[in-house]
Amino acid sequence: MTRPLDDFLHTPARLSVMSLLAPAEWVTFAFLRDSIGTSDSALSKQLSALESAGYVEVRKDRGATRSTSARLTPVGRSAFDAYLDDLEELVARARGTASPSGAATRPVAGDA
Amino acid sequence: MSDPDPQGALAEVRRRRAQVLDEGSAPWPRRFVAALVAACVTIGAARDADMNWFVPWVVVLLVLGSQLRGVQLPRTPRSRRWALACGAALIGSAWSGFVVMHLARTAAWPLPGTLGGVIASLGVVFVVRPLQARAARGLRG
Repeated sequence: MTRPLDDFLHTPARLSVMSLLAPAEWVTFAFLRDSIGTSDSALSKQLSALESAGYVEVRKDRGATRSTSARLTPVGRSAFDAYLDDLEELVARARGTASPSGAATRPVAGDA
Repeated sequence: MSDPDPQGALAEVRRRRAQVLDEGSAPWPRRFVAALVAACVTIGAARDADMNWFVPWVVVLLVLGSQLRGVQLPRTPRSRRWALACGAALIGSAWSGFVVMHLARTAAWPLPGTLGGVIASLGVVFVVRPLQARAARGLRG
């Protein structure tokens, strides 16, 4: 029996933000905004939601560059890894290649 | 917006991951190297013109410019080794610039500071930049 997908993460905007943050240590707000192609306010809203859930930490640099950066928290990283496992298992089941234990192989592995 | 299908979501994760790795492990852009070269020559010329107060400003601008990367990838042992080599080469380039400046001053050549700056900028282009590119590539693991 597969777990249902994490509804909180399974939305296009949050999925994009989490995917961009997963391989990095820190990602600037400007890079996230430009990569996703969204507005400042829409991205702020998504980051606030992820921060409230404890998935993301936001850092505001008060120095001369005055940049805002974000990164995944350990909780966010494990939630995203679990979400990816569920996605891969779903895809593997759809292809009929899931292992009997329910654990699919992870081609996206390396995000941790 | 509708929720992505699982296959599409996985493709999105892969695409975003590649995007972040490309940005985080890119070598210094040509514009930044050009700014470094200009800064080396400017520092040397500022010393020739007795404008030593100008030197810290150039250094501060360079440090700020080097922090403009949008993605910071976790360091790997390989990238750390190359980054150390890159830092040592940067110090070596600056040192060779100072040595040339003092030699030129001793020999009473014109514009000794500018000459030292040119030597330092050659070090940046031909030694520091390749080492930085290797350090950046090492971030991909």
